[in-house]
Amino acid sequence: MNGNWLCIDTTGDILGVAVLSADGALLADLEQTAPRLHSSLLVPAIAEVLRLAGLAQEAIGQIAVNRGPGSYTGIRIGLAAAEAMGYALGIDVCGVPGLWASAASRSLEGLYAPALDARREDAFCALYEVPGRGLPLERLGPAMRPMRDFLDECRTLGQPVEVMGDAVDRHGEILRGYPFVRIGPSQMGAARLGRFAMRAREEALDDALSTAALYLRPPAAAAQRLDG
Amino acid sequence: MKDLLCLGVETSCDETAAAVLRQDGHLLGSVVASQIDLHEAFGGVVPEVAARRHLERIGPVVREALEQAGADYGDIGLVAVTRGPGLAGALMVGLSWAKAFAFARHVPLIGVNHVVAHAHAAYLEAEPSYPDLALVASGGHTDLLLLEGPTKVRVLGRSRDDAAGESFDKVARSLGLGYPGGPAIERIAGGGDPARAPLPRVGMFQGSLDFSFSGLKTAAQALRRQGLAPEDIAAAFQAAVFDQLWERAALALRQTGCSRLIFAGGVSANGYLRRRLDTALRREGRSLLVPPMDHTTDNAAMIARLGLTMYEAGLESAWDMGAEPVIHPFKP
Ligand SMILES: [Zn+2]
Repeated sequence: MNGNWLCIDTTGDILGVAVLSADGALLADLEQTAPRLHSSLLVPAIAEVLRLAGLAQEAIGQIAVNRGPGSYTGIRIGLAAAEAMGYALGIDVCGVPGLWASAASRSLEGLYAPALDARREDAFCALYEVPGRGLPLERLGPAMRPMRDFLDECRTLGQPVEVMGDAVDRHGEILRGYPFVRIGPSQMGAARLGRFAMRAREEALDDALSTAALYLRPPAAAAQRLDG
Repeated sequence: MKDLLCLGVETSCDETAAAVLRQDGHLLGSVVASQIDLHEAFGGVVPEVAARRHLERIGPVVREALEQAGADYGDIGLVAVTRGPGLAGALMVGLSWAKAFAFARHVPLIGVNHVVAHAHAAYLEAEPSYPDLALVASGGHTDLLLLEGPTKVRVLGRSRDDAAGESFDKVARSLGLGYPGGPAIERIAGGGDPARAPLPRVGMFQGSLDFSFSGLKTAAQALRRQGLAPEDIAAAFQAAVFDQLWERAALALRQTGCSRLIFAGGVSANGYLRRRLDTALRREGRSLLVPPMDHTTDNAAMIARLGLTMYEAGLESAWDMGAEPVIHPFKP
């Protein structure tokens, strides 16, 4: 595998696009706060990030895209665009599990809980253990659950947990009630998706990189709770 | 030199569709993946379910259309895609796919209006002769359009409540028939007598060519509750729909001086309505133009047809084009 990586994240309010070189160096990245405008702004953002990197479309060798969880519409916008570009350029598309990739962006050993607001008091969240080397290990699998239930479960582990992702902002009130919680970054950037894909490839975790959307909710329930 | 290939993409409601149309008018490939079975269980189209299925099908459907066309992704010179009206989440799947594909291939992109495209489906097999009058009737829309030029459309009338196809579905349901309702009603209406099921006629709204179908639907349901035979109600319902469509269309033809009527959209697959419109038009020395039968319901060939026409007229869409779930047909 070679060529530059185009990284796309449309699952949250922030539209993130980045270009990495084949060895993982960041060539350009762009973040725009654009809730509900991802379908309009994604292609212009890709054009801009390629311009910043001084690359043509054909210089993209691989695509990494956040396949969820997050906004359902956002997940689809990213996956549809990534699949179309992959097809049009004859290159591979890696669908990256967003929560896992967030945990993998942290290097210090410990427990990490990437959590995304799912409205009301719910979150899309998971708990990972970042080991000395290799990708994070799953301790509590990704699911949509009440933030408090999730934190109650984390507490039983008796260790500090770093919560990261937009739930840090959206559920700050709840988090303050749990002293073992450390507050991590609320935004991770699109580049982490490409870096995760590279590491998952090295460890031959190809299943993790399927392009199936990770909604974490069946459609009927999803239709009632979230319009994306 | 008319060998440009246009890829059409359509995901506005519950069909995932792609087509390849050559600039000389030859339709090389057209694939429609229906979701009817998926939504039947919910008793209607569930937007989130539709959008998820579009994402799963869009890639395979495009590949199949290209395969039919004997073409390769590198042969596509123009991409046309539905930008609205339709379900927002569904539209965004096709739009995101089409924009990214066109951008990656360095080819122009055209966003088209789905309702206007239904009318242009008639131009898959016939030449335009502007101004053309078009009656687009389907499960989602009932619009009387004046096609004044390749990119100029005027809405003369539209439904004030249910779409024509929607009323077929609702009446079919109250008669215990399956979904979709159009074919089911036509099937049993053949053995019915409209005179045995008196339905009200919907008069014209003052100074307007608008339609209304909800009263008709309610009246048909009431007749069913009175115990009238389903086949008689179906026959009377079809006749009343024809009367309303024709009354508006006939007036619009006189007002605009058009010599033919384009009848498009899923409801135009109804053989009874086609025959009666044809007869009525001939009596006035005018003619009926319908799309090919397999391109009356939602499809991407009509999207490619309108997209090519707009492109030839010098239009092109910008990369930041967004979905427009509620655009009106006069906006191209
Ligand atoms: Zn339609």
